[in-house]
Amino acid sequence: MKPGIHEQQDLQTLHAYTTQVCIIGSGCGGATLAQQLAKKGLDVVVLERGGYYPPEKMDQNELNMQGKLYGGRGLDTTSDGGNTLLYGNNVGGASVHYWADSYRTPQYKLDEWQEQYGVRNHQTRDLEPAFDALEREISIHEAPDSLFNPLNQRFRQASQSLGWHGHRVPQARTHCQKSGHCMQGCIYGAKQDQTVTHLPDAIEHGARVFADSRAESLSFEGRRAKRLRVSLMDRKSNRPSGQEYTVEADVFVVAAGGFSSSHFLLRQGLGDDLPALGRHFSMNPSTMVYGLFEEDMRQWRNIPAAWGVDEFLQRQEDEGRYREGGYLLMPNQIHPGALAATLPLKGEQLGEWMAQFPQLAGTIAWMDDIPEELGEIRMRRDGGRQVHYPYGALTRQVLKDSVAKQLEMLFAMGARKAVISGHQAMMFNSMDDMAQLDDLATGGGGLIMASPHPGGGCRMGDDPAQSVVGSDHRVHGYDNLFVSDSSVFPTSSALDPSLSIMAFSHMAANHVLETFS
Amino acid sequence: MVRIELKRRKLLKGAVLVAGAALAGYQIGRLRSPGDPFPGVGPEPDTLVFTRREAALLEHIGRAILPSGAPWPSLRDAEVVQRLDEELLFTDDHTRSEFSLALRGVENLPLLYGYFDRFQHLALDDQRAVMERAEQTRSELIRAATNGVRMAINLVYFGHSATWSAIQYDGPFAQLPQHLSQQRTFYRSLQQEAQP
Repeated sequence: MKPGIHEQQDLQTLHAYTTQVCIIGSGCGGATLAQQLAKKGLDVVVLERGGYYPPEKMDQNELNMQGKLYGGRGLDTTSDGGNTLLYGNNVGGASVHYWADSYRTPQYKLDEWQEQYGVRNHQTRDLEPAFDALEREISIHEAPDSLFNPLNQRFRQASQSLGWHGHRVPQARTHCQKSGHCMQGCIYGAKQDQTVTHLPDAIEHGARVFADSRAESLSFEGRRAKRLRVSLMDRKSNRPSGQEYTVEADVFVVAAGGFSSSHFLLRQGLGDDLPALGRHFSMNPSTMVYGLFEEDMRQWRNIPAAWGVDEFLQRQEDEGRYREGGYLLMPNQIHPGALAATLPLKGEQLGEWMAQFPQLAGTIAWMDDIPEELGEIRMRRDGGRQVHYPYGALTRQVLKDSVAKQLEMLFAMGARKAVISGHQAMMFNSMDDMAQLDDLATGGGGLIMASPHPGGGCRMGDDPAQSVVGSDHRVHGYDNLFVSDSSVFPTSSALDPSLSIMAFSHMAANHVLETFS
Repeated sequence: MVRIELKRRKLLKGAVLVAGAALAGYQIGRLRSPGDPFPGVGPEPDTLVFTRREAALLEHIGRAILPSGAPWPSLRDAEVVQRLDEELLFTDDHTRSEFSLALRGVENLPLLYGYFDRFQHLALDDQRAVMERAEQTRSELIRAATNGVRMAINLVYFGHSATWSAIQYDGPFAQLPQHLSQQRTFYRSLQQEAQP
């Protein structure tokens, strides 16, 4: 089988495949790792459960692309139903629908991971060569003025008038057409997702990508993973076709993403020896607030977020009591189906707001999960995945504060009125209405949120009782089983994790290579 | 490991069962297969996932929560039930069963608020009143059920091109034509096969 992307119809006659490295998942983690290893001459195969959707199969229709690109067709939620889980189910993974925000891991996070969780060799000095290379490779640069739509312009002006510190968002794009369809897949190849960057490079160096291939079960011989059983998916029915094949490899790497890697390992029964498996799960819960403006904002065109407000990125306390912060504020980009789904309004009021769609725009706050109040990925009795998130007391305070700051921002931007994305239709006509926030339900289902930034579940650390992989990305107790994605992060990476995942994958690649030396 | 989820499902199922039992006597004559709940507004949707009763309930909920009258298209013009049926066909069994459970929860919600009837048998004003009451709930279960159904209906209604002129949305950039996935094509072929 030649290097390249092979789909269901190409794999019909495959029964067994042997390679040096088998990577499960083709998103930021798996694709970057494949590129790094293939360039070093290793024979690599990447398995992807979802299909392959190159530009000629995209149409930028919101619902159509949600069905093609999103796991669970965008309908998966946390166990309380309040938080929509957004993840990729396609070659390129979530990078195909991400916003392309590309932040280096904040220094305070690297310090926290080293000092509190025992992560070694993932400090700035270790990661800097990877960050430098990646930033060149995928054209990361600060958003220029031309990529500020009216919403972003107004957002930047308001943050400056409020005295809130902000920055141009570092983003991975070239020759952007300003279509506003980053979340539907970029038909122009302008967004530097994995299908136009690391996967083609990996393939050029001999890698193979098997789409429509769901990793089922690993068999082990002692401390070594030996063979992987794979179901070939029937793309048209989105069910297993009944056909299977096996992959034998010297090394297996799980890179199925923050929602799926720990679940895959749980399905292999590794939870018995690794009690931390699935635990310490973060997801950057994101609150959203919408406002109605006098003039057109047309938030659905141009790039999603060109300006970010980092004034409140780190939590502030007064004498041990929470004061404010713990999130990044950004303008929100959202097409009409998803926007209406997250509005709390009904009937004529919903019609009144949606009829003003060009003047309707909002903000989003990406919360840095509280380390003491993280969630957990669990396996249901039927083997499926359940995402449990507890919304602890401090989490609720941060969520409420993030909503309050967004309301302040929207009114500073000139909104006539505002509503919070949640179960209750609280209407805010000015800052005088802020007292309503006292009654805001912030627990399960009270706020309607989305979470495209999962992390944890395979926490990195030295102690097998407290972590799942060592600082060499190797699963504790196994010689040739690695994890390379955001699930190794000990806590939330605070910001969009894509660039952090890629840099960590560079580190994982070094350790995989060591096993062959 | 699955204790919390089971508890939640158990509670919701329990509520559904209690409500169902209370209604049993009253409803016995009404449990026959329903007719078209909205005759004259377009053909009833043919569904592969939803039962006829669920499809009718979805239309009742949609009518209670979506805007109506000009310029808004009807649920059937926006293919709300049809599209949800299609989306759920391609999700896993768990998602389908959760959605079905949420629908049953909404169907029996009126009992909690003093109505002695199921949602789809209430007058439109009462249906709206039930949804308003549910909005004030502190119950995570009721939130989960009503949010799940409401969000799904809004997603597909406003994601449909029939609504776009009413909201001044210009659709996909450069007006690209639809490119149906293999799954969308497959759904259509299954529907045709299911035609009597």
